[in-house]
Amino acid sequence: MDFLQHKKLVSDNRARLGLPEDCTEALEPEYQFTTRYFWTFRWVFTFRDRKYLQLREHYTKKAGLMHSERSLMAFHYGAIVSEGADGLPTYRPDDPVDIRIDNVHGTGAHLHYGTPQPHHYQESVKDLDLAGLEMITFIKAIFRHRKSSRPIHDVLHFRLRPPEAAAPAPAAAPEAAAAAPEVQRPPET
Amino acid sequence: MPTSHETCLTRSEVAEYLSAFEAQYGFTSADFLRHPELRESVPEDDSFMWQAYIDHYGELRRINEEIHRDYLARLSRNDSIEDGDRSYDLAA
Repeated sequence: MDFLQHKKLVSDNRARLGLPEDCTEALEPEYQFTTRYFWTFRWVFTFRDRKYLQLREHYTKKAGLMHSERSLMAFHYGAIVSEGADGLPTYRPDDPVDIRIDNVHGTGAHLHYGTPQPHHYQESVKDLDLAGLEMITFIKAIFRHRKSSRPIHDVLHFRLRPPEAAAPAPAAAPEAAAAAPEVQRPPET
Repeated sequence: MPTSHETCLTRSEVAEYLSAFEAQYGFTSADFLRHPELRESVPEDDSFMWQAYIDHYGELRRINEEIHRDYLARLSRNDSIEDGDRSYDLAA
């Protein structure tokens, strides 16, 4: 995928989405990009009952490949606890959360479900590919959950394995450490 | 027609964003990448954006280096052409 294909995908899905009556698009799809292979995406919905749905994605390209891959994701749905200077909801680690799926911190995709802790890694989540979850699937699941009051795990069709079966958090991705010298920035003039 | 917001980031903008994170959390972007325990001390949404800006910075630097390499190559080609012209002048 590249930036233009992502924009088209979002635009097509958005046109077909149909917002619930109590939902506002608090932030229209927002892109920050450097090239057609590197972009960062954010989209925010708020609901009348002071909940919000936020989608973040970040795409990068590995050298030698001709397409980009999603390297970061953070899909969040929960109560609005605080707002930033831009008026959009902000999230702190101990804020209540209905569901959050992200792969931030380089430890692999994981799920927060009902509470900020623990992090449920793929090993303890059955029938849902956390790293491969499409944004639009998440949005539609939240809309369905709100409309039907069915639990989110029911509309997203996943099950959590018992805590004793959950594996410990994997170590941070080694490529992050390997890439460290890359950010020795010269002073800007 | 639905709208979206697009910003084409410049190198100085990205550098400013990185500096702001470094000032806020008290460690460098290199340390952010090198030390998982520092990275985990940053709230997830900030960590997301910090990593994203590091990637954007790397991409902008790569492009900058590519342009510079092309420029130098063109310069050296031009020098060769000028040298060739001078040889022709001398021969004449």
